[in-house]
Formats: sequence, structure tokens, C-alpha cells
Amino acid sequence: MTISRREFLLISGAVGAGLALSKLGIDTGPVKAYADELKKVDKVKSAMRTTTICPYCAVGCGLICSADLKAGKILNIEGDPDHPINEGSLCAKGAGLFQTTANNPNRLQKVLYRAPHSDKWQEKSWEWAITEIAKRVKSTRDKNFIEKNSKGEPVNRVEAIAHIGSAALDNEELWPLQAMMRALGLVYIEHQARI
Amino acid sequence: MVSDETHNKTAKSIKDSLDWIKKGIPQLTGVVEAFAELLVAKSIAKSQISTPGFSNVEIDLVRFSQGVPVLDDRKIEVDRDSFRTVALLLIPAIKKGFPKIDVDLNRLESFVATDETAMEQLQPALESGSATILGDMAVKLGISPEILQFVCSELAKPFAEKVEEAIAPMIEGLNWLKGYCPVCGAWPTVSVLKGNEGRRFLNCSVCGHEWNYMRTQCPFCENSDTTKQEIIFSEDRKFEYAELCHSCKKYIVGLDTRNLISPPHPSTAPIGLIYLDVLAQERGFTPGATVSMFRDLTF
Repeated sequence: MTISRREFLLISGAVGAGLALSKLGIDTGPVKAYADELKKVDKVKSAMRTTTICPYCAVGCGLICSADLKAGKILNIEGDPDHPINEGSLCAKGAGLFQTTANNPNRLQKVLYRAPHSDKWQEKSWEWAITEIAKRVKSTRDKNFIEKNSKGEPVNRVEAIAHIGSAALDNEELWPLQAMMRALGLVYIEHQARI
Repeated sequence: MVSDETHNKTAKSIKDSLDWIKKGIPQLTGVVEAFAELLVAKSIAKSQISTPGFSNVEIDLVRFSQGVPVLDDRKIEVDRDSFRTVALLLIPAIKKGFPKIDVDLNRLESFVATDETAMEQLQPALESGSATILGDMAVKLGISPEILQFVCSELAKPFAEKVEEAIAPMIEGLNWLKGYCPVCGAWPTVSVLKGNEGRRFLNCSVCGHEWNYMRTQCPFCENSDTTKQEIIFSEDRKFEYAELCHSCKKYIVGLDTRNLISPPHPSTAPIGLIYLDVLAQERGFTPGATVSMFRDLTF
């Protein structure tokens, strides 16, 4: 028997109407009951995927982010296997992106403050924290501002404060942060990724 | 010919996969048991036939890169003895799994067993795609046209898989960006995520060929607008899901094997995901692979 591809597809049922399992004498009742039960107990979830770019470094790895449409919650973040830069792979920092979402139960929700020489954390408000940081930065900077070096050349720098960028900061956050530190006169500016 | 060892391994893998499905979702036991014998018989049949001949063995790289499947204009030669071997292995297996249609199956089996020209007589009815010609043949044999179509589609698969085995090495490493099979041109029946990077592989509904495809693109309409795509899954079995396309209203079921200790045999995957077919069809979506027996589950 010689058959063409189209004929072959017709024979194999790949073209035209499909077959109903029930017509072959199979009881699909239990399967439908299982599907109904999943719906009744609200176990059926719906998600939308979005492709995006890792926010961290300049490599620009591709990500696939899945979010629960109903709960408005991120379900998963993973490397995009079809992205030409990373082909699905991620560095430890990128792979940990999901932990920075609301899904991480250990993520801090409030400001915690540990006073110098103390061994206890105290809960503080954002307002208190921002005011306190600004106050201490200004006071340290005012006390330690170096206008000129030993040769009398203008340097306008602060050596008493160092800044380290967090691993969870993205490119867009890092740029204004660095600009602000330079404006204050800081010279010791580092980032977690370089340590 | 496939060695006994390879064949035994395949049969064991199929049985283990089906047991795993039943254990995970006992409600699927009926459907699993219906297909169990057939799946194993198909793997035996495949090991007992030689590869059907096909013309123009060379691959036309230009046409292939433009999305023309390898078998596009090739003729496939199936010999009478191989057809008989496959039929007489598969029909008894179908009888075991589908006892309610055994009267029809007995008639078909006896026709294939006693009439040497059975293959040639069935050919025009099946390859025409005409419901009338198929219906006439079914009347002649005294069986239902749906059962005739079902059995013949199953009989075609071992041959399709043999052809795929021969063609797959020829196209290995070639880029294929389409949602239909690069070997035979049929639509995929299941999407499988594999490897640490979670690459997506589509599995052909006819020849079983597996090819890499974009994760966020609908294989049926090539829509890559993710706002028009949706994934549904059970909270208890997050590694199983159905990908719905709001653009073409088609869906494909999928399996993420990345965290599974022993991924199920590809031929068994659609059976274990049948509850997702129900959920997708209830929402008005249809399976992209027309060969699916799970097309009409909601009514």
C-alpha cells in the first residue's frame, strides 16, 4: 500500500473530526467528577505568564514570570529557555528573584532597628527610620567633610561613611542611589555583587 | 527491528507510568486501564515491523526551514504482512481495554485475519477522509464508522513511529520553529518541559516525534501575546497544566518533568492529563491535536 502524507494523516485521524471517548464505551464519569471536585474546592488555578528581563545587572537575562490572575500574586519566576542571552539559566541572584516577592514568608515587612552595642531588634516606623538615617548621615558628614587634601587641592569628600548596595537593588534603583552618594561626597561606594 | 531488551524496557516504562497515574489520581483508573493493553501492544507491534519505505530520502533544507515537514510530498509504503501483524496485535489489545465494543472489534479482527486484501479494501475508505466512503465501508463490515476510524488510526501509529525513527536523525540539529510536527506535519498532543532550563518540547499526536518549541507561543496559531494566553492547573498537581490560547481558542495539555523523579512515558502523558482536557473544554476550548480521543469530554 502506498500512501501520501495527507492520506496518512487522514488514516491516523489527524485531519477531520476527532473521536469521543464515550463512543468507545469508556465511562468518563469519574474523570468529570474529579474535575468538578477540583472546581468545587477551588483547587483550579489560573495563571498568566509574562516574559521580562532580570532587573539586576547589565547582562539582561530573560525571565518568565507566572502570576495567579485571581489572587494577583506571583507564582513563579524562572529563566526563559528561549531567551538568546541566558537560554533559561540564571545566576544565584537572578534565580532568587522569587524570594523577593510577597511569597517569601521571611521577608521583613517592618523596619527593625538594633541600637549600637545592643543585642535586640526594635520595631520602628518608616518615618522614624528615614528621619534617623538622614540625621545621622548629615551629622557624620558635617563632622568629617574634607574640603582639601594635604596638598591643598579641593577634594570635597567624606571618608567617614561607606555605602554598600544591596543584592536586591536593581539597575534603576542603583543609579540614583550612587548619584546621591557621590553628591554627598562619599568615595567608599560598593555593591554586594563585587564582594 | 528493536531488540527484546529495548522493547521490554519500553513496556515496563509504559506500565510504570500508568501505575503512577492511577496512584496519583485514582479517578483516572478506568481510562488508564482502557488504554494500558493498547499502549503496550503498540510498542510490541513497533518492534515487530520493519520501517515502511518512503521516497525522496534527502531533506530539502530550504523547504524545511520554510516550515514544510519532511514527509510533505513523500509516499509511504506499508506492506501487507506488516499491516496484518500490527492489526492482529492491536485489535485484541483494544478488545481488552474496550470490552463494550468487542462485537465490532471481533468483526474487524476476523475480516483482517481472513481476508488477505483487508488492507487494500480499508485504504480507500480511510485515506479519502470522506465520512460517506468510511460509513459505506463500516456498513459493509457491520461495524460503527467511529470504531473503524479509531482502530485504523491506532493501526497507523506504529508505522508512523517507525518512519519517525528513521527521519528524526536526519533533522537532528536543524531549526524548526513551527507548532506542527517537522516529520509528519500533525499537531502536538502534549507539551513537556524538560532539563534544568525548562525547555518546552511538543510531542506529535501521530508519529510521536518530539521537538523544541517556544515556551510562550501558542503552537496552533503562533500567538505570542502572553495577555492572550492562560495556564490552568490544579493546586495539588502544579506540574500538570493546560495552556489555553484566547486567540485561537485551542489548548494543549502540558507536563513539567523537571521535578519528577521518573518522568512518565510520553505516550501515557495525555491519559494522565485528561482531567485538564475536561476543565479546558468546559471553558469552550478545543484541543489543537484533532487526533485526540479526548476531544469531546464535556457532553
